[in-house]
Amino acid sequence: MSNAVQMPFYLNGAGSVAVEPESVRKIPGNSAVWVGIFAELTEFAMFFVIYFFAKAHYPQQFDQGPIHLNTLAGTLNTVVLISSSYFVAKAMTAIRCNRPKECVRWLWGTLVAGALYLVIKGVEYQWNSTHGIHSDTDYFYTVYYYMTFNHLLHVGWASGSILWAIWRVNAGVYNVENHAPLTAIACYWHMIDLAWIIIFPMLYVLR
Amino acid sequence: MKTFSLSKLDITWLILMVVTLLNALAAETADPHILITAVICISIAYKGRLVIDNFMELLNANTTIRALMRSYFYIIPVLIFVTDLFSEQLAAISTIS
Repeated sequence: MSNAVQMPFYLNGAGSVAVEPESVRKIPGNSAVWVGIFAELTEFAMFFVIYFFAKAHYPQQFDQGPIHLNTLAGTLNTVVLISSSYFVAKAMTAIRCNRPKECVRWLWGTLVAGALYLVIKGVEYQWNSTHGIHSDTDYFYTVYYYMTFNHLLHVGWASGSILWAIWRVNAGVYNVENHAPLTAIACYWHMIDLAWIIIFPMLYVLR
Repeated sequence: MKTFSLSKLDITWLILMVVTLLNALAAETADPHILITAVICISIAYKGRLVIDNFMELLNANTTIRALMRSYFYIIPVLIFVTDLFSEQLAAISTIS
């Protein structure tokens, strides 16, 4: 028995577990995923800089643009993405507490939330189209489509990684002893949620 | 007997939901104002901090990664506010004549 087992660690609000999570004072997951996360956040930061300059040059378009967007769709997408992040965090708690079946259930919840996000975004694009909103309507909508479609792609391929994680947990490869790759996937998913936390108010709320 | 209790993750999710719905309410009802922009920027920083610390579990993790992630959610909201406040100056200095 290791010392960690004798000293329960209060894990992320989930109560005491016998094993200290791998993230304490360490790089969660692995270094490679953090290179990817910071590269992605840099990419999104560039989109935000483009937004700042475009808004400064075309204030009227950026004032009127959000009014004509479907705020309900944007809000639902935010609710779905934040919930998916919560599901991933619960899945991490479950795997650390040696509850793989529960972990898989939370991961399926994440995947369903990811799929729901894509469906809502598809419906929103269709709604935009019927209301005469296209990527070349004006500079606001160009930035809107550029930013949201890019984000949608990230949700798409990250959903694939969640599916992979479900398969690995079911196969017993990711378990209470070995789940650093699952932590890496979880961190990537949270990064996508974080990007949307900025995108939503920029495009749907601020004028 | 099983007792009902909320974990830190549950509370974090609830707070994030409330802030998101307040943002949506602002989008639908509030007129553009610099104070509204400030509140929205603070809410972005706050939501980001909650996700980074509690969902991503960086609160006790590697300090460099935590500092970089947290600073992202200080810098971007500040930039949103500053570029909104000084939009005319930003347009002026970035215009090619």
